[in-house]
Amino acid sequence: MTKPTERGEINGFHVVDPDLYERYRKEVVALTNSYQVDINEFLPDDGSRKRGLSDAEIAERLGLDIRDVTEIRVVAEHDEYPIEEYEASARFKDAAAESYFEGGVKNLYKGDPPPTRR
Amino acid sequence: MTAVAGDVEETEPDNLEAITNAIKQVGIDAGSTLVGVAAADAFNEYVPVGHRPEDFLPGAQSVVVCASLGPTNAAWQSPSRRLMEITGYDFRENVSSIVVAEYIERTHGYLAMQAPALPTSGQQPPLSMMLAAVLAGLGTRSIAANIILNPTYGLMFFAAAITTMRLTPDHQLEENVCPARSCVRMYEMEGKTPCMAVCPADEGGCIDATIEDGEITSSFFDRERCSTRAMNFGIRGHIKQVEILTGIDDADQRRDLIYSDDFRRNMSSIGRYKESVSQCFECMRVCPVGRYRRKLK
Repeated sequence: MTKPTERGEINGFHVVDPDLYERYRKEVVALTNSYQVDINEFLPDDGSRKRGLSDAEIAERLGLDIRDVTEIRVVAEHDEYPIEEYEASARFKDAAAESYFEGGVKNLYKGDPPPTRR
Repeated sequence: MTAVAGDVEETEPDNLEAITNAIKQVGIDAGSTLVGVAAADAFNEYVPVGHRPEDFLPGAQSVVVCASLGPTNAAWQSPSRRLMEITGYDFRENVSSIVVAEYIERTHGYLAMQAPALPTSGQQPPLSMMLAAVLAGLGTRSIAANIILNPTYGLMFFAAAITTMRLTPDHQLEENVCPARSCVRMYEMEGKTPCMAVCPADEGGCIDATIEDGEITSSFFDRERCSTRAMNFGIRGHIKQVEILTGIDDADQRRDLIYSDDFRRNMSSIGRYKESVSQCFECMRVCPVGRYRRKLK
């Protein structure tokens, strides 16, 4: 029996090839639920209502291995926003909540996250 | 109807509705605020193969959906928004759904299981609890991050049990809960609803939509940005920090990051020790649906 490294499984688990990732990342993300456009169930089923595709559906459409599609999707989900966005999110929530408590809906916070969090 | 361990009842068409109501009561008694039922095959119109009840329980007939409120009224009004980051979600609807599943198996002799709701592969849930809630008549999808709004309670959390038992399904709500009339008025004046104003997709937020004649005609939700807010601390933030750690050669810099408050908060979230799995409530804080209920003594 061959070792995982001898079979090209360099990390033991399935990892997507970086070139394959870069080539298909945008297409895969566009087909998933990362950016949800018009998925409300009340929209008519005449093409107005849309939904994200499953990994199997994307694999079939793009002619890829489903494991590669899953990996491209999962890695891309992490890749969409940098860690700075997480810090900005914390500051946004502080500002939005504070603004609401000061003036309710009439005082909605509509600006960028403030430069300091605490 | 009283549940007796070991008793197995046949599902009689005549009393199907009574049995369904009794099962709902089991969910309520176990902590749910509301319980609804969807027909398992109702999912087929909305989701692909692999994400339908039948894919997890062959022969599935019904999905019993348990709903709970999440933050208490006082939590909504706390001046510290951090409070809801650590107390906004208590999983009681999950407990309720497994109690319902066990009850169905023990009392009625049909297969039943807790529906797989939490993502197992990236952000992808095996079965959508939001869709389950819609199909069970518990609410409709809103502009605000596509969150399901119940007409009475507004934001709710959902879990479900899938069963091979045929139950009387509830109907989907006939009218969209969102947008509320006050939101339509604001949209007509400012081009945004309160949720769109506080978290606008075109200005660094997550939400966008159009409304015509009081109805949603298009909607957009940036789930990945929302994740940085609603799951501010957790697996994703931790992975980001690990990525940075692997590139730091200086031992002091590594220590400062590992010992940092944000690293600890990510770890506590992963361990479900303190941080909630739902950490941003800003679009819901300004949502008028169910808000009147938050005003107590």
